[in-house]
Amino acid sequence: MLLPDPVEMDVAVRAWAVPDDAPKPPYANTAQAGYKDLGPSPWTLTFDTETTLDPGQALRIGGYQLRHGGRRREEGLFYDPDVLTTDEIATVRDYAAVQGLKLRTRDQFADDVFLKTAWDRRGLVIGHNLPFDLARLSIANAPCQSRDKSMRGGFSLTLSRDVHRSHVQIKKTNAGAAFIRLTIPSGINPEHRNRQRGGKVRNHHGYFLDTATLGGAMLGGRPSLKRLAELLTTDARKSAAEHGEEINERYLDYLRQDVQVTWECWDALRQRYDAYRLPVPSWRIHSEASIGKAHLTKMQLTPFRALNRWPDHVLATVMETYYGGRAECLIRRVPVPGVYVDFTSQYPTVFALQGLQRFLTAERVEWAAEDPAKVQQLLDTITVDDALDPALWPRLDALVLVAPDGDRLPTRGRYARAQTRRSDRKPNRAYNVGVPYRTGGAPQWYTLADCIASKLMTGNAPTIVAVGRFTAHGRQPEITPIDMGGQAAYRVDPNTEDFIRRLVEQRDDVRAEHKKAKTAGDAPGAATLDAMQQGMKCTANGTAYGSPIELNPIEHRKPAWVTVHQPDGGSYRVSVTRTEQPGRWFHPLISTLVAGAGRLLLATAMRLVSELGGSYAFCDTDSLFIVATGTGGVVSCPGGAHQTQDGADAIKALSWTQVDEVVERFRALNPYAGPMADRSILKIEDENYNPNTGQQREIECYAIAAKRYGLFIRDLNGRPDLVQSGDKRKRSEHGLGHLLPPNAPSPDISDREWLDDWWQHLLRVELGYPSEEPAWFDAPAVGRMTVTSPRDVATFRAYNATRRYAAQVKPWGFLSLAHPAPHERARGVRCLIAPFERDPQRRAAMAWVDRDNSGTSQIRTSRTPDFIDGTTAVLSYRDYFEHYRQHPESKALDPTDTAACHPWTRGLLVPWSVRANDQRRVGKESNRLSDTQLPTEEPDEQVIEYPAATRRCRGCASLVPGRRRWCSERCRKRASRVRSTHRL
Amino acid sequence: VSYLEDWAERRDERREQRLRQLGTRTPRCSRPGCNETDPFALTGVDPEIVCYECQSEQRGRSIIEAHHLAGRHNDPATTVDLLGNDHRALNDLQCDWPRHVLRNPDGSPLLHAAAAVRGWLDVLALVLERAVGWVPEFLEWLDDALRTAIGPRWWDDLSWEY
Repeated sequence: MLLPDPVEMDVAVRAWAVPDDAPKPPYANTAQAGYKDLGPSPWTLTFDTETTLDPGQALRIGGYQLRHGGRRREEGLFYDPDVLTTDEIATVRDYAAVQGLKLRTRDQFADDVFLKTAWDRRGLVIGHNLPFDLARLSIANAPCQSRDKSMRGGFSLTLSRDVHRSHVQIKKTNAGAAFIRLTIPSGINPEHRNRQRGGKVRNHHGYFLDTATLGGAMLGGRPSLKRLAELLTTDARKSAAEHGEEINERYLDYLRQDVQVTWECWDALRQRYDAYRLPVPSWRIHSEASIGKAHLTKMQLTPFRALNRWPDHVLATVMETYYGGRAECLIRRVPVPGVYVDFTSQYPTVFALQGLQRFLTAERVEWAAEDPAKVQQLLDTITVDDALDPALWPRLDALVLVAPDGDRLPTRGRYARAQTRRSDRKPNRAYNVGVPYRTGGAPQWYTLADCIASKLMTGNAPTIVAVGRFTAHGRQPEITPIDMGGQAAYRVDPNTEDFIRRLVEQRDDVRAEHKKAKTAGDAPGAATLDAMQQGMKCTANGTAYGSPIELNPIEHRKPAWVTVHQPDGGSYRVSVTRTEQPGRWFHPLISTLVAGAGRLLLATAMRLVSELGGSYAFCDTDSLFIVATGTGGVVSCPGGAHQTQDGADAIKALSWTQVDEVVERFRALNPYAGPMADRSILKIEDENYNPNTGQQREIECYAIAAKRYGLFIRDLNGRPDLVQSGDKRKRSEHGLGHLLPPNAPSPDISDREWLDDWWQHLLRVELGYPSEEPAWFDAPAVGRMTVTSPRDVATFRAYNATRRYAAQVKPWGFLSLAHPAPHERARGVRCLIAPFERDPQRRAAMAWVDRDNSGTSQIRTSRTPDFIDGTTAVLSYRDYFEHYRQHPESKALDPTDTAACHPWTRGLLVPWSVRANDQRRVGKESNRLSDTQLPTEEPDEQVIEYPAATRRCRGCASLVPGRRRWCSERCRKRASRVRSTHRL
Repeated sequence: VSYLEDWAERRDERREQRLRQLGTRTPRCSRPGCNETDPFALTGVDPEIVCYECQSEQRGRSIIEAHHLAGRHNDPATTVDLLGNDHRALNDLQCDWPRHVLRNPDGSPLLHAAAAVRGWLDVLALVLERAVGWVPEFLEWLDDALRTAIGPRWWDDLSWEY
């Protein structure tokens, strides 16, 4: 195949950057190593708040229950006297008197209940979406400035007017969780006194439990309180009420009921969690991965970095090879029939296939150079049959230095702007990972699995320059067997069997039970089992892949110096405002080997398809859409090598039997036992079968770009109809996740059914069928934004400046957000905010505030660039639609002109051919876009970059970091002496 | 909130503080033969915890101590003899009295009387707690254990007349 001309591009690799003040491994706080935490006292405080409906979401009224050992000691209400009217206060007072409730003001509640329970009594504070409620209680907030840096990037909330009392610190950890803790006030406390006497009690920072977080970790997702109560079948259920409505008896009943439901959810979650018998307390669980890590702790495994002191250049090498899953679109904007397949638990499967548990349980893991000729020979001779032999996979524990020469290797680059003229470039600095042809440039480290994948894709073996292989030595002596999920039936002995493999088998059993419950008509039981198996899936993935590459970003107020290490042993220093701190179970070798092997699995499937002359429409980490029809043949597709009977370009479609053969080939790689043992790890998804007859049916795919595709069938008139599996339609929502439902007021903002209409309309428009536009098409496109970092709050500086604290946009507040149309942006309107509102009709009628200059207006949409006083034109769903359907696949080229994919490109795409110009080192690819949900703004914040030094020392001309002029004081003095001598 | 409820609540808070100081949620005097578990009567840090009576014995002091029932400031002359451990528990309770009652800087006779009543109430509550305070929880635990071991109507199976 003739390759397109290589394009010169700066490529990026993951960096191993060590901050100057990084704690020495094991990075668990060494000052407190061996210190114990007594856990909370029997006191618990459960509370909930109700707020105003303005963007400030100020506290109106709250309810609480104070319990001791589960027994209710006090129930009460609290309110903000500055927000409630006199009549409302009187209503609340009467209600409290009748119901026998304590009534307190916000200040009294903060001092006499909250801080007394959380700090003085060391009790557990419980809430649903707790950070939001804590922020409502606050009277001031500021960025965290704690010395230990772990909470940097979070908020410090002031709750009490007494300056000697604790503050509450909150920092977002992931989409559904936050670290919450109390600051330690000055003076002596009991823990301090214990240590003065020679004890080892850890400082107490309060105990906080968010039922949304724990429920999400145990049952999957981030359940609402209503959903959680349903899943846990609590006695009390959440009642319905309109937020912000008049305070009356019914509303106060609703508030009290919410508190009771929260308590019952916690009680049910506690009982379930206790059954797991994990050594980590429930208030330390922040995600599914936390449960997986707790299992590792229970096995008495010692973290990798506590046992191994690898040189920094080895860690830099490992990090350089790390890439995520492969997602690409090969056939763009052309409908093609096919079979949708995916790998069963791909990451846990390759973890088990490679036997990576040996690196977790080893006493030490060593790295040794190996003769490159051996690996070169393996690559020269390897075939797809070898890749399907389980014996190969445990030998993939090597990293190789490749001199690229037409190889298809993962490459992180700015594809979207590589072929754009400098003057036309948008400030989008996002990196994408593609798998282009690589030619020339400096050698780069890859996993051996990536090299084999390249060989399978191109037929040519990459040229290997150096090889490093990892070997696990010994076994940690303390490792003990554990009962998975607290069930004796799932006992795992990590000394003899694979922990991850057992977890997947356990999940399969739960799925089988779920199907049985569903068939038997036990809907609540089925929902609980489904949630459990989702949680187990995330736990397996998190433990096999997520936790080993856990790098927690830390924000710095002032730039901090880091040393960026390179695989050749060199390093450079650079100052950055955001650094990364490895998690406790950081073991990058495991993650890179898992991800690399996952890509190899996918490449093997692609190779088997191409050997049969077939093709695929898209792939997404563990799934593949193989172009196929019942009997095979050719399918029209621009750019294809074949031709249809009427002379159009076409590609070959496999028959379903051939696809079955491809699927069957993967049976050999099945590492599982029990009921899973006789299946292929590549499975044909349920979407391919008619739900009524169970017979395989012809489905088609329409892909726009990576992660933007829809699967459909045709009705009798040939019109497309999205395929349905269970109660879900198969279409992606990538790039649309932040938009709120535009149709009738939805009780649940996670209701994504409107996207079915979106895709249905898109398919019909694209395929040339008449389609009635959805009624909401010209409605303003409104997103939801949650304020989770001081940086987010700072964007509301202008809005907050003129308001008292209660009315200001505060941490964890959530708002509606609309983006001005281009002509409005041109006159300086950047972002409009309004109170969060589910009802689209009300959204349009609300007063929207320009975030940057506080002016208010109503929003409207317009197809022409016009200006109307008192209104601001914003982007509509139509605007998003038009942009979405033409979104180019940046990681591929147009086949007609081999230029970067255009919005109008259709057909079989061509991979890029890249020559690496320069190698940049970057940090975590955390997409801050999803954090802030402000598209087109703050583009520079998407990834941490560690730019290499470009300035040279005035004395010796060596590279110096940052803005320095001299590499050292000695060099400066020497140069100074030379100058003095010349003068003499 | 009744006096006893308030007393129990205050005592819970102080117990939590004591447990934190001792460094364990299940403190016990480490001297062989001594089963003292009241955190107010214990000192040291886990695992070297010892009760005040054992500590006094070790140091050659009497385990009987004089307790100012109404507080030293209210009535320096009137004392009652108590075992050291009980004395510590009562002293701790006095810390929860209103400060002006405990100190009584002006020598108010009514505050003196209040302090004396508080002192007696503390003694009575302590006696109740230490003497029979453990009984309800024990009975509840025993009932639970018998239900699990024998059945929900275990008294029928044991031929008890109930």
